[in-house]
Amino acid sequence: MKMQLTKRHGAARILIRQAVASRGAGLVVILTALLVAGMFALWPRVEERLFTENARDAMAQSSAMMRDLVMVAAGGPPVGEQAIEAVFDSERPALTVDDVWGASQESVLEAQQDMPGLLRRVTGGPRMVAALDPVTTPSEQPHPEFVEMNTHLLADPDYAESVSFVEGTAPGFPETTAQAEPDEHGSVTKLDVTVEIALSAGVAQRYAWQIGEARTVYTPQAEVHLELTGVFEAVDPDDGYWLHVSSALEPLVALTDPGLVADAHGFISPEAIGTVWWILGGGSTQVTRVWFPIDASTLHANEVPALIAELRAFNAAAHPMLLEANHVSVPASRFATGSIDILENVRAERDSAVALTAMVVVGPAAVGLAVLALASKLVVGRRRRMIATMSARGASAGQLRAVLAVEGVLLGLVPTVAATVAAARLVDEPVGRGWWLVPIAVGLVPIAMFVGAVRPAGTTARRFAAAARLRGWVRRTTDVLVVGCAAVAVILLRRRGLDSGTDVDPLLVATPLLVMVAACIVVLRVYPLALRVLARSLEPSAGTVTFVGSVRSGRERVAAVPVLALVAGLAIAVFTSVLLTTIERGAESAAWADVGADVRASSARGFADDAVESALGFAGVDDAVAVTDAGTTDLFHGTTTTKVRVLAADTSALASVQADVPGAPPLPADLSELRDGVVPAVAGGVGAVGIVGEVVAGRHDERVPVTVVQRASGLPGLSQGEPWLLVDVSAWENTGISLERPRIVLMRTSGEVDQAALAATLNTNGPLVSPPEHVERFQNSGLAGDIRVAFMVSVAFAGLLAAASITLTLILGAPARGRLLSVLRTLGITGRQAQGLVAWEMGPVALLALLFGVGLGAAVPGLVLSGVDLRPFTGGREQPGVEFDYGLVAAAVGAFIVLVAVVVGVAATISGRLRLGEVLRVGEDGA
Amino acid sequence: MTVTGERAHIECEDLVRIFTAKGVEVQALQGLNLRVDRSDLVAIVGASGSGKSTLLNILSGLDTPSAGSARVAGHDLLSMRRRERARYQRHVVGFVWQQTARNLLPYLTAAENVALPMVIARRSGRSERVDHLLDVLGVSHTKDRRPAELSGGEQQRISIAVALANEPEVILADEPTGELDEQTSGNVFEAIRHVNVELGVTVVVVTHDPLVSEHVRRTVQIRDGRTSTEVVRRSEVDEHGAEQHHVEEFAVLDRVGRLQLPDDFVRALDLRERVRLRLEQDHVGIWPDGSRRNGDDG
Repeated sequence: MKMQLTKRHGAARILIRQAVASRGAGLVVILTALLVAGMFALWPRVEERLFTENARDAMAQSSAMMRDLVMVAAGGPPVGEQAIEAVFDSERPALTVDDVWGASQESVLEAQQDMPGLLRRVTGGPRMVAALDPVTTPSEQPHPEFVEMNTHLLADPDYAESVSFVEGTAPGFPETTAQAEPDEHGSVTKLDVTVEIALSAGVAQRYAWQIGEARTVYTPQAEVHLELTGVFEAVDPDDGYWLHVSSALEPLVALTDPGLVADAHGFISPEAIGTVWWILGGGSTQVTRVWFPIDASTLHANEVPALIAELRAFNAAAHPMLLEANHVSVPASRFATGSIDILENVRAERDSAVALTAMVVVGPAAVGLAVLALASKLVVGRRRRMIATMSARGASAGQLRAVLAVEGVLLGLVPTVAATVAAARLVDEPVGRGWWLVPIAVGLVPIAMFVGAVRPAGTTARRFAAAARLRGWVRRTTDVLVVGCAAVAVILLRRRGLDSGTDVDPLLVATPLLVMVAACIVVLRVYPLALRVLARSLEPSAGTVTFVGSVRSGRERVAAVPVLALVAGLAIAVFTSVLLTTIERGAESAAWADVGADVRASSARGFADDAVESALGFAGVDDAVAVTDAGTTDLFHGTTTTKVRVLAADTSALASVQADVPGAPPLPADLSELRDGVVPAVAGGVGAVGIVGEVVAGRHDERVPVTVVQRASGLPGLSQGEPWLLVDVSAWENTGISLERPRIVLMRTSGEVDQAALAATLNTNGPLVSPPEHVERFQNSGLAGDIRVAFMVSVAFAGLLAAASITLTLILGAPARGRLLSVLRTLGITGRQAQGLVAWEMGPVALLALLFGVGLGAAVPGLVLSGVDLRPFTGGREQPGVEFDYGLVAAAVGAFIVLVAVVVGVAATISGRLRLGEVLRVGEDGA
Repeated sequence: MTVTGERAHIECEDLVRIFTAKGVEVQALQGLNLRVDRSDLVAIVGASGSGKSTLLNILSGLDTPSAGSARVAGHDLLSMRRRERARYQRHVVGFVWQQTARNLLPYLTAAENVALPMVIARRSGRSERVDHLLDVLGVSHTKDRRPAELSGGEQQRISIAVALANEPEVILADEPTGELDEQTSGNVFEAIRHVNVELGVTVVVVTHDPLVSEHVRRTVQIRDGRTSTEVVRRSEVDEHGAEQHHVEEFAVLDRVGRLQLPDDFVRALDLRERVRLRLEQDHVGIWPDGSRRNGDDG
């Protein structure tokens, strides 16, 4: 376009005049473009942010032990001559940390330098800690609590970073005095060594070890006095470091037969590691733990797959660490990390969430574009006269298209670019280039609609007719194609089961959209026929409004966009409520399968014998049973050997506790008595009823004969997918094989139970768990909660779009309606009857859309949910079946209808007051 | 009426225009002939549905004839391509419709409306020309007002200015005074005549308005898609120095010799189906077919 831009009578001025004159319609287009592009731009970014937060949370919530990249090598830093000579020769220059650790640390740093970029970014500075075999360090007075106290000596070149001394000083290099002692061969040199150590305030206190106190350990060549010189506290007790050196802050206590045994870590001076190792006997094992802390706080969701790959590659390679065991170099070895599992889980969750949200969003997205096209029609209607006039005055199609394209850019592209930039500012997440282009491309809709309004000049009637015929043909072909594609997609999806691929499956996302559009086509084609039949049957008896309304609705072209919007919106409302119910019930049954009872208590060190009794004595606890998990062992029968988990409990109590637990199998009553010396068992995943086998159990791997008397699929809270055997404690103990202490107590409760007090009574090592809390905790964490919000947002958005499309359609239909009403008014219809006609315009089609939308929403979950892994949202091991909560479905549909009705009502009121049709200058041609 | 050997400014011969709608063919023009000389002012009259507007649409390049030939200022309207059509509409013809809504855009001021065709044609010196045209048509005072703020007469005079914007050779006007009262109508027609005389523009006016048709030199009547008769008015100054108005009615004879008799002639003599013709020295006589009438009586 080369129109001159002069000041007074230039093209620009005329364009501006035109734009200002139709600012109402322009504003509608701008707002719609902003809204739709904003949705297109925000959705992936918000989703990405949630995924990122989810990934970071999952990593942050995991323990450092699991998360970090760890290598455990049997060996320590090289012990040179110097280290041993230092014992005898106090004159020698002192060893430095660097002398001892330098080479090893160097090799670790090299490994980090070889890491690929992303992995290097998320790993912190490496740490190494060498630990010596534990030594028993009894106090002089019998200890009031522990029958045995073990101290593991640690050497960490960087431990000063992590501790701060609250009393005493950091340990120094060992002091040695050599004494010649007589024996039968003359005399030997017996060493008397003082090794200074540091303990945490917690350990020192529990061990009742005072500063300056030495506890003596005897070795073949020395009498070693471990002297406590310093007591420290952690600089940051929450630092993952303290999980790697787990019992450095508090001793680890275990209940054994003689009594409580404690294990704790204490630090020696790091440069003394080789020396102390030699003094303590030389042959003892040294274990060095090397780790890279992983900090995922800068990780982005889109980097997860790459990080998984990099971690795998890093772990697959052996890394030389320059360590020695007994003066021999330790071969290069591998790192391991639980991060891979965590991240794989995060990825699976993300994939499922992407698939689900894509299914839910694709409908409103399509409707959004359609509504934008509808809004653009407002402006096109306003431009028709300009097009006609200018074209008659010799404006070429090119000129007109250019003028309209400029307007399209201003009304469409500028708002979508603004919306995209604003969305990116608001939620600054790295997304693919496509998520920049797609929302901006939304702005092409008005441009296409505007430019498409220009028909080449001199279009003859013959060509018009041909074009109309072509359009009819294209429309019929499209109808057939869409319905056909939808059918094929449904068949394909039904044939194929759960997709195990990691990427979003286009078939899965496209199918709901195709089915939805196909349903709309059916509505649009069936509707006129249905109304014609209705009109014919009403003809003799109907009143004016019914007759004219039904005839008119049946004969005039049905507005497609509101139908699409209503069908999509309702389908989504129903679909999401079904999905939420499915997830919720799935999570519930997963929780019952995990927890196994109303309340579950667990203790890592085992429950006392009277635990069940004290639980039963607690208010609200009706029944309780202690379960021993004897671990996985071998089951021999015939010539086969199977790994089984052996669970033992008072089976009648278990049956009573689990009486109301979903999925709990009925247990036979006579499990507590031996059958011919054989232990009766209920089996899951292994054996057949009647088989007799032997399981390996007990301290000395005795074989206990068992027979399967019943089979069951699972034991809620106890079995975990692998084969299991449930035996009764008394029958088992009759064979003379003792069981370990039970670590699980399951309880049936009624009413409110003070769980904290119960936990204290039972002396558990953590809070009690019950299924509702389990579900709640699960659903509020991670993506499950976000998904619910996302669903509500998309249903609300779909409702707004439906309301917008209905309002716009009513506005666009105003001129035709006005003509009809003015004809009818001359025939004497009342205002009320006129309103009735307006209702007939949208009413029947809305009703049909309601039926199809709800039907579609009810049918789609069964179709597509088999294709999406919902387990990340239920926490269960099994894909949940589709569940309907008719109340929720009705509420969702009702809420949707109310939302649409309210918005349309408000719009109608406003438009009535503002004469919106005039403000928007619809159908101005007649003006 | 001058029918010379030299090419006329507007020349239509055997013009046919057939509309097809839902399988029904309507022949709006059925071999129409029309010749208009340069700088002439011609009124076209006829009943509604006679094809006047179809003719005007064809002449303005908005519609294409189905057959025949139509040339305006050397442009062949049948073979015209898109690009030539645009050039034709920009520079050769200007038009004024009955409804101002088709002439003027409501959101532009009078001056901007006049400038619009020049913007389309990328003409320079627009402001001067806008001022000049508004001045010529006597509506300078309306310059910055929008159509809604103007009277019907002012609107139509601005529409004429719009039509003249790119100095066209031909002005086509379709009932330009149709929606106006007599007084205003006279003013607007005066403006058209003024433009015809002062600027030498050929003008074709379709009208119902006797005020218009009786004041142009030549009036062409269209009936059933054909030009049937023409009325030519001459004023001569007689020997007494008084002005004499002569009105003569002509029938149109096409190239192959077809002639349409005026309706009242046909009715008066009850001419039907066949007539007798006789060639005289300086005229042709037409009589009713006496034999047939006798036959009917017998």
